[in-house]
Amino acid sequence: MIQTTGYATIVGHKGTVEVDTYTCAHCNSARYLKSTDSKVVCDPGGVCRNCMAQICSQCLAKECLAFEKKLDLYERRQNLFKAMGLEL
Amino acid sequence: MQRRYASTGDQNAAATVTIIGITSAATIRPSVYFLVIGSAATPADQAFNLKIKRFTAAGTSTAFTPIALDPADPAALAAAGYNHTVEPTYTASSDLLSVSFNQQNTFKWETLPQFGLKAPATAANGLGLQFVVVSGGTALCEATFWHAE
Repeated sequence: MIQTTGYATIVGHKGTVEVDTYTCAHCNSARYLKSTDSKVVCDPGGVCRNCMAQICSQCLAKECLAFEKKLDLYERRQNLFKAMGLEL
Repeated sequence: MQRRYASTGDQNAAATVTIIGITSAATIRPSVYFLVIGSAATPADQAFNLKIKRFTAAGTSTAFTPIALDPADPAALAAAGYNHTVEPTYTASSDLLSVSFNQQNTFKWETLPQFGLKAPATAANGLGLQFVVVSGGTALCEATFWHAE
């Protein structure tokens, strides 16, 4: 069972809709998990069997690459560009 | 405990226009963990879709100095901007949050700071909240980000 780590509230003229959310450990996107309104599209996602973290359905079929690792790679690439004089 | 800051801004609803953005610095990884958005004018019975996306250049906006939620905290290292006149350079396929709702609604999302939407420790990179689709109406919208660093 995926744990909820966040919470969304939509307050409108037709009432209040509440949604539990979680953050995908691979792509860092916030996803709806379950809602008080059945019309809200939810993404139950799953658990990565490598890092045992909560991930979204889009990342289920991809290799394990934790988001913190992605940020490290991103920063290293930026530093390399900077060292090469190709700062964006 | 991480330092936490609030940034607010407004923008008239129009497609591919950014309301508010958080720009990172080389020394920190800001984590956006709270968002609230709603119309500040008389909203039309129309819909819009908003997304939080990554950018690699901040564009041109009205600067906003993030306010520390704890007054004992120092000034934020990240910068904020709203009411963009030049759009940030968004990274393709980097939607971190996509939400659609009626303009007469107010939307709030929050999580724990450690589960927030993180930006890399790279200058000029960051996260922006952008109107992607506006079915009609141009109501003034107000948005607030809380970020931790």
